Amino acid sequence: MARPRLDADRLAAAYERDARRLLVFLTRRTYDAQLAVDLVGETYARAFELRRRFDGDPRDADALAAWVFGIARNVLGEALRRGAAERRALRRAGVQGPLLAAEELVRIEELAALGELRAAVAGALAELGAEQRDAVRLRIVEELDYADVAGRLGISEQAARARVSRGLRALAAALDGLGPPAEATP
Amino acid sequence: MSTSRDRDAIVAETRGARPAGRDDATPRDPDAILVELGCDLHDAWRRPPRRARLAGWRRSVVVAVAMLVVVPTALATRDVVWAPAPAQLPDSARLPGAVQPRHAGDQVYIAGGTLRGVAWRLSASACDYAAVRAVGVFLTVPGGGGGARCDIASDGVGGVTPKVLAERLVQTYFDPVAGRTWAFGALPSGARRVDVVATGARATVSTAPADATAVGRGDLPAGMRVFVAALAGARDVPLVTARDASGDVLLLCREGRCRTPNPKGTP
Repeated sequence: MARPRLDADRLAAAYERDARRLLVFLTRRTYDAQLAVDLVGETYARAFELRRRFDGDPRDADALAAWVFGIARNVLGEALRRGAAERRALRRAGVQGPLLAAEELVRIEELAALGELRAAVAGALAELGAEQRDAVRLRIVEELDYADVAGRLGISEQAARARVSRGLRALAAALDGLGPPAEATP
Repeated sequence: MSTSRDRDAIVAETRGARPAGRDDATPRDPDAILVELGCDLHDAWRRPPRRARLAGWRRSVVVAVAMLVVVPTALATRDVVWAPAPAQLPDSARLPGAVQPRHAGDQVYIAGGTLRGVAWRLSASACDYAAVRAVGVFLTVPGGGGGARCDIASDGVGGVTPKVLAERLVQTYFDPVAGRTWAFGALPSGARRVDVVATGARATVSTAPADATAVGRGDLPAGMRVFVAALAGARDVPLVTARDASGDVLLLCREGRCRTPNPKGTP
């Protein structure tokens, strides 16, 4: 029997199924709820334009979600490189997309548990010793080489690596299990 | 998320509920926002495509005129070196602390080929900052493409410094048309082989010299080499290793950021 094609109704059903977790996925990666909503719209607008190229079974929800999330990763990557949402497909579709008020932005941030995530990271960082905290900050936030981290802290490169490694392990342990209820990437 | 049963009610409440121009702004919850967006998308998807709105004879005229314009242009530009430049980045899209390159070269096609039945083409441009030179590489495949531009450096919070930008030699692109993840990049002249490690897959490919004419016209690094790898499915690519002719590690690229390894073999 011929496999059904991905059409507007099937994609709309996928949107109903997956848009919420895609919004969470994108909000947690952009820290910007308005940008995340724009990216959700752009992702599905592109998916519709490319629907004939989807070679999976549109009745397979997981396969369809994986395909859409792949498109979302591209859209996200473009947005992060450009510093703004690319809205070409939305424009072609004639869709403006919702503009959000301040309180609505807060509600989406709550959905994505951004506050909890920020607090957990801040708390876990505060729990680290000063030496590990400085090493993690220099390596992860300022993106310095280990040699530069070592130079700044006046220690050997090996010691710098050890401090960063221990700090990250402690952070990972503190954040373990902290996940938004709706986020899951295929 | 809301079911279709209550969609109409939510949409009725949320239609026109955009902050601009609304006096009694009742904040929507995320589900209502998504329903509104979803309805707008679905309405757009159900509209007939634009070409169907043209009467048959008018469509023929439009197609004929388009052919007259497009075909000679395509023939004339098929083999040129110059690639379409990325759109000008508006100042409003730049992060605070943006660093303008001292010089930005033209976008040029540096390589092309076919991989697993899919035609691809690479274009690149170079940006000179005070201390470093960054190279932006784009991959074009049927139905789309991706890559990075080289003129987005910023010293501000959350920005990418020129040094970090110059280290981003490897890019990835998920190709929804072919269902593949592409890893590609521009590497120094010594690179001969590339190991690509992705989630659940890996590949080893050879590098090829970038088109010398294009390299010259685009003011790209002399001797630059390129690689392109295609992996089935949507995958993250956490590690790419470039090796020289003797197999020694030349660059280790984690999340696209490449560094020369220290003597112990780690960046």
